[in-house]
Amino acid sequence: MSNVLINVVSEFDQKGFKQADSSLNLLTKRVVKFTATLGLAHKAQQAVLDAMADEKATKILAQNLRNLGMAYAQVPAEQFIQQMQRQTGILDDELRPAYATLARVTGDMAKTQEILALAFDVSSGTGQDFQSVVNALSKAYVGNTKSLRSLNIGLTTAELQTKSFADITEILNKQFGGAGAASLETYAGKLAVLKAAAADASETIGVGFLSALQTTSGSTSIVELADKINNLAERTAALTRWMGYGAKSILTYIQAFTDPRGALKNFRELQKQILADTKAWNERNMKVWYPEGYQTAEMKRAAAAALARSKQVLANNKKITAEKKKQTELEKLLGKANEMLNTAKGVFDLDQVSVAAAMANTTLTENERKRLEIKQAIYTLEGAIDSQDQKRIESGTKVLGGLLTQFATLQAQDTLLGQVKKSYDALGMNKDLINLTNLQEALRLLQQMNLLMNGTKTPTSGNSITNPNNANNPLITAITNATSKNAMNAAVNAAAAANENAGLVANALVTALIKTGTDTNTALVTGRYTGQALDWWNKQNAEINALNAFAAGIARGQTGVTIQITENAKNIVDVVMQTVTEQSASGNAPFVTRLGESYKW
Amino acid sequence: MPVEVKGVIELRKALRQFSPDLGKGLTAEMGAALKPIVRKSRSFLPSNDQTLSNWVGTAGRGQGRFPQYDASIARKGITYKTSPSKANRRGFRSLATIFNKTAAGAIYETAGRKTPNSVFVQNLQGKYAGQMKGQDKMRGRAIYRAWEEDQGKATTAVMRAIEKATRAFQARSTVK
Repeated sequence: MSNVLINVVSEFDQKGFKQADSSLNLLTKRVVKFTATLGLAHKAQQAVLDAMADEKATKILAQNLRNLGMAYAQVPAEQFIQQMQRQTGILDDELRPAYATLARVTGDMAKTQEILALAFDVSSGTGQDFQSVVNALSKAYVGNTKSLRSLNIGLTTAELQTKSFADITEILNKQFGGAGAASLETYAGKLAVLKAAAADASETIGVGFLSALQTTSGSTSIVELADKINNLAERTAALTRWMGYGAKSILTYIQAFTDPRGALKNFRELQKQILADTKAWNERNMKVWYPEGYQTAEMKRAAAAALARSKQVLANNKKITAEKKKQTELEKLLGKANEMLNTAKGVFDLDQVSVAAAMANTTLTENERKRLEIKQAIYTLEGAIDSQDQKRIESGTKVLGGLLTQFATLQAQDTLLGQVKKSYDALGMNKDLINLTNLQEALRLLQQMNLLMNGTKTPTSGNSITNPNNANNPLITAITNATSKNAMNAAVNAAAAANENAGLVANALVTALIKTGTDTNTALVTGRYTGQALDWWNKQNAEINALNAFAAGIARGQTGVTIQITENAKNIVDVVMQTVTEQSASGNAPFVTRLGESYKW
Repeated sequence: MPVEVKGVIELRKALRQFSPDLGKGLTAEMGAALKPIVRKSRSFLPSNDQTLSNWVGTAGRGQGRFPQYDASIARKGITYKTSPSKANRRGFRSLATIFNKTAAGAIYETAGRKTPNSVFVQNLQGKYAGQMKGQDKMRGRAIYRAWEEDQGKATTAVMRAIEKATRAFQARSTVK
């Protein structure tokens, strides 16, 4: 039945515990009684019990090795374990399971012993317990390197997976080689060695006995002392055994007098027992020696099997690594494809499309454009976050931050401009008057009106740009005083270049013509002037005629035109023109033309 | 965690000896408390169509083979017991137990607890795998899920049945 169950209600039953207690007590009593019968001390009683457990563990290891086809390795294995215990202080209770574990994965005696020695170094170097290190190494041997990470040998997971076991052991040897020997030089290491020896001999040695024992035994090192303690324990056990045989043989001898058959039977049993014990003792203590390079057939077979297995493991690991690599590449490809897909989907994202369409609008204000750019940056950043691409996320965040800063600046500027506009509006000024061109034009027109309002054909006070008093104007004087056609031509050209007042020029010219006796008829005048003087004359002629017409109108007693100054000074000329036109229609004469345009009547 | 009581085994012995009707009634009431959970657990097991096709079969665990799943066998394997069990190594005896005794049922119950990313578990989850509920060793897809969803009502009902039997027995055995 499986273990999948739910205990709804349970109760504690002491009956089993009581039975176990009583059984153990009974066993303990029997052992104590037995050893007390042979006259052994209390510590030797413990030794007997420990020996029983040790023998059981030995048999289990032997069976494991037989199952693995390494029966030849039983005795060398046991010798190795005993030696390692004496030298390292690790109890054989720990060493035997570790040996069995490694033998199972390697299938090779030499490799097992090599890895055990390495495990001791690594355990001393890292501080981790021996069994954990052995487990990690046994797993690593078959390609499972996950446990090796806990050893912190400075390799990444990928490196651990790609390196072979031989490479890993090389690295471990480099890093931890000699750590075991170094730890044995410490007090704790020495104590561990002695404790192991003492545990094996069922004794506990205190700190104070350490150097004393070494001195009194004449040992030159702790290892030699441990050997001596172990030998002593062995001999004590042998002595105990032989004393038992001796006691039984005496009893059998005595029995022979009363029951010879029974005595003979007991004697034969005793003989068998002695032979079996002797054989076991010999096997434990006999030195098994193989010449260097020598291998029995069984050893060769085991070595070949171990080699084949390690090759198989390597091939499997390579295959797994290749598959993992393929998987990783496929995942990368899928990742890129998904990213591309998301980008393409963005093309059909209605929100993004509408933002892009809005951006194409050229009538957007800077504020609205900035808002749309921020919206686009938000979409871009969302896409980067979904793709989990760190670079894209960073750049998207930077762009969005920049846009938000700019938008904040714009908001502040808008606020400021709004305040400026309010202040400007609060001034109540007529903005169009600020336009200088319009202002100058208005002034000129007003000056002309002023001139005409004086009622003279030939204005006595002019508004010459160069000189307000025409009597002293040298250019005008030059025209007036001109006595020849050439002199008059030159003087008029000079006045035209200086942009003198048309009326003044006209008057000066008429005066000059009268003086010279020349007809003022336009046709004759036209023939006399050339070039710019002629242009000037034509332009001024038109204005003069207009002025004369206006003056004639005033002479007829008609009132002057009324000019309405509108608020928009830019249009003052239009208003004047319109007024003049209206007055003209009602019989009033127009008095002014706009400079530069053809005369309108 | 199961509820621990004291003296129920002796009570049941006494009931069997002196008031067998009360003893039978206690057994019936405990069963009635556990039956809904058993029924619910059975409903959480998938049918043969709903599970991995290569896993379906009737061969049990024999000669080192991986046990095959059959819905009817697995459902029959979920049941309850109201008789006391043997003491476990900690000395506790169970008085009422719900168990999922078939190997395939147990596999379906607990697959993925320790190796959630294994191929078998991922295939199972892809095809049909009920939700795993519960904590630690009481986490599973069938009986543990039903137990978790029951939220202790069955335990309460069993305790009530024991208390009722105890009071009834004490009332009968009181000398007036």
